[in-house]
Amino acid sequence: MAPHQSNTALGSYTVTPTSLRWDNSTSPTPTPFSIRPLSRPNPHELSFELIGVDVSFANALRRIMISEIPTMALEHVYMWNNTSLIHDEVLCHRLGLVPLNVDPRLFDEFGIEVEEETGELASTDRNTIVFRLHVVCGGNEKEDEKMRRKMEKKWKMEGLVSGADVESVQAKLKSKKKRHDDSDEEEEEEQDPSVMDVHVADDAAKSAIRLHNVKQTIDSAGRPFTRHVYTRDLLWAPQGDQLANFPLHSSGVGSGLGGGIRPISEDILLAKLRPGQVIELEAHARKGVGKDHAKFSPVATASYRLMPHIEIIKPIYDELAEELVNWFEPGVFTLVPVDTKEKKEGYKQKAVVSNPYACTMSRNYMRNAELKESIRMSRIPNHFIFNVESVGMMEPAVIVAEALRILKEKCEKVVELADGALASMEG
Amino acid sequence: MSVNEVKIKRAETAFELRGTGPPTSRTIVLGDEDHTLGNALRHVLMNDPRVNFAGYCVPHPSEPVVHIRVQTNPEAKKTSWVATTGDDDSEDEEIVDGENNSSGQFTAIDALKDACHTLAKQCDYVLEKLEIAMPEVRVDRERLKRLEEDMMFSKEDGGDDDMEE
Repeated sequence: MAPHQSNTALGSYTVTPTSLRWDNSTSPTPTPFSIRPLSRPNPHELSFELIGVDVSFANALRRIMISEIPTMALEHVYMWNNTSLIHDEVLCHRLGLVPLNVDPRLFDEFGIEVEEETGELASTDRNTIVFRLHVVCGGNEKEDEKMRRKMEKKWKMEGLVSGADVESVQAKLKSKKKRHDDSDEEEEEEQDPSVMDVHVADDAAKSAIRLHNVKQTIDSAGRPFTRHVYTRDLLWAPQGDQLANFPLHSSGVGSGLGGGIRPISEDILLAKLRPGQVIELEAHARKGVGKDHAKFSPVATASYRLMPHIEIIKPIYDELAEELVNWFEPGVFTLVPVDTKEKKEGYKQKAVVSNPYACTMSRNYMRNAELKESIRMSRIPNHFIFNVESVGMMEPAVIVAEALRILKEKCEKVVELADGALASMEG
Repeated sequence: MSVNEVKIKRAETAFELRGTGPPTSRTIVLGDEDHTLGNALRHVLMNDPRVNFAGYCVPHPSEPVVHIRVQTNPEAKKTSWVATTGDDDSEDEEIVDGENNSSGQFTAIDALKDACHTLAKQCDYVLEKLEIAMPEVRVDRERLKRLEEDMMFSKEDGGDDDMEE
């Protein structure tokens, strides 16, 4: 039987009675590899392009970033007292979803070491982070303040670390630094802070919610006082070496270490209490992967899209070109003056593709029948535009690097298993 | 420890070889794996000219198992590519004790191991280029190394469990 061959745009199949071959070299030279950052809208987001790899590799990276990079999150919660309206399991669920600002690579996996005497799994300072929460709602604001201050004194003696402690240590550090820097910096730019600037809005919200003297409650006569429980009320109980390894005064490099072990955001609302209600619990954070529970995923999300390819089959001029520019995202097409030959025919301007990266492949232009015939849209198969949004414990580029290392580990594990199987077959 | 302790379900076998007959055709069953590794390995296997057939499947989405089917060309011989990874002596010499085929036939497992090595090399290459394109990766790697060394030293000093609670 003669080999059957079929060709597609990406390659060709050759089928014989004993074999099936796929040859994806339609061009004599394969696409050269390159990786290049495209934009970093904020320290937690990264957009980069990866050219020259196969879709299975890019997809493997994406899958690993979402589900197989280990992170620390609250896993085991010991509830001592909960008289609030939030059910135990709901509160524990919310606690688990709180992201922790600690580099997970500095911790070990839980469930490996076993204590010798009891045979139970060992929680050590290398695999567990302990948090405590103890909130009592007073009858009114003043009473609540008094109670809180009393409890804070007690916590300080026990060595528990609250968000306020870290903030004060870091503020002292900043003011010390500023005193040194003041001699160097003459002026600081005083720009009018616009509310559109995310950082300004964030800071404003922070200072509004900051600490406890804020009228968050709806004010109507006779309405009882409501105590809002935020992540800043979580107290870190440093175990063993943890206070030495994660000191409160460390400034941290990247998004991981910095100022003890705290949640990434201190403003996450956990529960609301009415007078007399109490929440008292201890929570242990362990290392896990996104496959197990989404709380362990280090990325808000990681995704990729293929590079769009826009071809102008028939040249587009004048009003049609203007319409085309408006149908697409700003910047995809630009209007350029025509060359002399086209000028003779009476055209003034034409549309050229200038930034295909901005295109999202919406097919709005097809609503115009003429444009529909003049443009062909497709995707470039080996050109990926990744978008990685980190939750905050690791920088997005670091997450990509970790994904590559984990993929390599998987391959090495398979080789090991294969060698083991071979050895046992012969043995 | 507690009544509601949830244990992550692992697959039953981490690795299994299925297939009677010549060693050039095998189905490799990998436990605790999914499309992430399966598709990537299959693609690398397809690009190996000594491989006649390569395919993978996930038999059921509820089970963390991947089947990879590899069939190699019976006339193909092992080359010294595997030697670069460090298993220098055993692989490309022809007569080795314990080898299935003293003729150096390129078996299905050889193809799979080759593919794994290739994929690992590819990861290394991309990591290298990533470090050049985004320097914070190198900064992070060095910082981590330093931190881990510090932690190792403090561990060797005899444990400071008495310091804090």
